[in-house]
Amino acid sequence: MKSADKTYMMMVDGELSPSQVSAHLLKTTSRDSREHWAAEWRLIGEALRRGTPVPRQAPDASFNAQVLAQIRTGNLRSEREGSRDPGLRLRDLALIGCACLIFAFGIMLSVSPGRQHHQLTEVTSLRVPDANLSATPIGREQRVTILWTTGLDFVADHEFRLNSSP
Amino acid sequence: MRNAIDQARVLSSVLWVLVFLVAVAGLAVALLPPRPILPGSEAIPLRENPPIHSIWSGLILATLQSHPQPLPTVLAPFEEGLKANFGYDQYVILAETESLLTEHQERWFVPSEQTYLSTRLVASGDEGPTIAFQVFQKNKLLLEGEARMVNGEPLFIKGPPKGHGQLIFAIIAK
Repeated sequence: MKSADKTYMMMVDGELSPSQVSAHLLKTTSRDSREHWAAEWRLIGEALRRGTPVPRQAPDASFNAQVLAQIRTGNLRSEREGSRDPGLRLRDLALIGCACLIFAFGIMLSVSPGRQHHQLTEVTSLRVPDANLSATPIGREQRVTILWTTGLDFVADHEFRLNSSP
Repeated sequence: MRNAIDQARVLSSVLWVLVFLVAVAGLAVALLPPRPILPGSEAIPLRENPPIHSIWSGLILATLQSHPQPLPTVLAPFEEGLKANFGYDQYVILAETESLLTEHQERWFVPSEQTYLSTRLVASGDEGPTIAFQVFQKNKLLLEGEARMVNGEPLFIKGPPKGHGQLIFAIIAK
């Protein structure tokens, strides 16, 4: 490092007495500029020694507007989400209740005596010895059980006589 | 917070799927026809002290009349089925009997020498007895078989035609 630079550094650091500063400036520059220059450097040196923070630079207006817009949007979303209960809502409970009612109604119908009552008498086995005769169960559509025969002999009115005790 | 909301939404969706499936299952149970009972699955073999079943038997004459009489009370619930299948508008009970059936007991219903039937208890069930029946005409066996009776639900057997009408046997377990 040159001697002049070292002297400058010592001057900025405040390590030179005012007389030494003056003597140095006399050697290097004109009077006005020397005094002005020396004063600025002194201020800078004192500021650094005091540890004064670097002045903050305020962001421009558009940046602030963007940040505020984002904050506003985020707040609104948070408000909407906050108003929605993460648990079951009244509408959900009502619909679940309806579904349960439908289920219970179905179970009730399936086990009700009236439904079971609709079972019909059923012919489980049948034998017709005469090949000229036939018999077939019918009538389930009308909810009756009829054994329909064909080929039976006609009974004349004069032949038919009821017994007194069947 | 956002994770909690997402989890709640997923849980709600899963719950809705379950509720939907349960509702569909309930409707299916309600709307499907009753499960058919396989022959013999509901019949209870006769025990030492079997139940006694009351069996009503009747011989009906069905005819066409210009001024038909109303059906007898015992047949009134089956008017639609009788008229739809036999086509007559008057049904008169010529003879009837009510008997108690127990194990191995055979009951004869002989309203006429022309035609008659026998019934016998085969098994007892919750819905009604299973009976064996035979239909005769002039000492000739026309047909025989077994029927799983449902109490109150009749078995009609088309007998021989008579005059301008039709003879019908009716068996009802009570």
